[in-house]
Amino acid sequence: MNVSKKSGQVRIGAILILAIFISIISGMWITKFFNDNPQAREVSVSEYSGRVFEPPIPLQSFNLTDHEGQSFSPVNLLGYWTFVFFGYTNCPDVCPMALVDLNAVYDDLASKFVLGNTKVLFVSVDPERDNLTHLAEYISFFNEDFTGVTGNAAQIASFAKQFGAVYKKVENREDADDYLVDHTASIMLIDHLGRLISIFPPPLDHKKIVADFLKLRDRYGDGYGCLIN
Amino acid sequence: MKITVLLMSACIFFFPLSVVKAEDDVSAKNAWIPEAPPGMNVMAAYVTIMNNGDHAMDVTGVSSAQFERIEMHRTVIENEQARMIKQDRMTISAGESLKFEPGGRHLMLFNPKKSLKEGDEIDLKLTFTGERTLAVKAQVRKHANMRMEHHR
Repeated sequence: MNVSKKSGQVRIGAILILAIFISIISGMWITKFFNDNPQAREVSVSEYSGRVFEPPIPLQSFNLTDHEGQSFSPVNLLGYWTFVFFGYTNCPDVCPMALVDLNAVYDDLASKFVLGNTKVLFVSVDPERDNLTHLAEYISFFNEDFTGVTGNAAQIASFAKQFGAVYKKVENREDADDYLVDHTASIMLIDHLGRLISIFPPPLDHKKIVADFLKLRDRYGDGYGCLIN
Repeated sequence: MKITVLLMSACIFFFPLSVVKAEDDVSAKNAWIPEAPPGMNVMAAYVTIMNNGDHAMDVTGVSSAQFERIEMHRTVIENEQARMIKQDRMTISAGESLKFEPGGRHLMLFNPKKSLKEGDEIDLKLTFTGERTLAVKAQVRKHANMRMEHHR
């Protein structure tokens, strides 16, 4: 009895892994298709306050490092709905505001009992100054559950490009270390299959973000079945 | 004799009033600094400045003994991108107020002399046209309050 139950579990596990494998392969194919046809990328759907991509755009492979020094790659997205913000720790106004808004989203999801597989990522676009220690202190100040990620300039650039996120260092002639960084201030949402599904442009409103999120999650599935880590 | 005493007491009585009036042409409220993560070199401050006088006046600078330097900035969002633009002066029309608030105008505080915690009070000195200055106490508050402040 137990043995057959176990072999059933193994079989389900194998099917799941196969399904994930197939979705990654088809994801790569779809990415190629959309990269070849840039006009096909964005669809605006009026029932949402943010911009929604239908179908969602699979992310191409990337390699980043989280604030604990662990590798952060597409496998860390599978099974999670992930909010992403691009910023830098020396940003006094916009980034803390966005993180406080994401805290509000997080609290709201927790109160609705749908927080389980939600992640919040803060991607540093200032690898020169944001080392891992600094990033870890920064992100845990806002929320212990949030993840700060960084990488070298090329790794960050290739990740950001997939979201259409841009950033630019503004040189300071008076003090070279005190530069500012102009950057995209939207919050991005990645679904449980590692696909860019929505972009929330500023001004950010955490209530609208939660409303969109719940609709998208209802429509595409909560993703608990894809949790592999 | 009686009139002299009356005049003198009137002078004594009204003299401080005239001083108060001059001080009152500009005032500030809601000055606060969001508590920042440890080791941050840059912080923000927010404040509302009221010009109660009859003439437009410019804020020309802000300083504090507790920071290396302070700049006035304006956050501008264009094509979903945030940019901060340094402002050398900001004009407040007569009877109007100027709000520094999250996501808009803010004071950018560089290199705090010591790490600041919730409840700390920081002395800011605002400078206006004609060397006029105003001392303001800004309170350090937890970032959680920032959201409430933002949507209030």
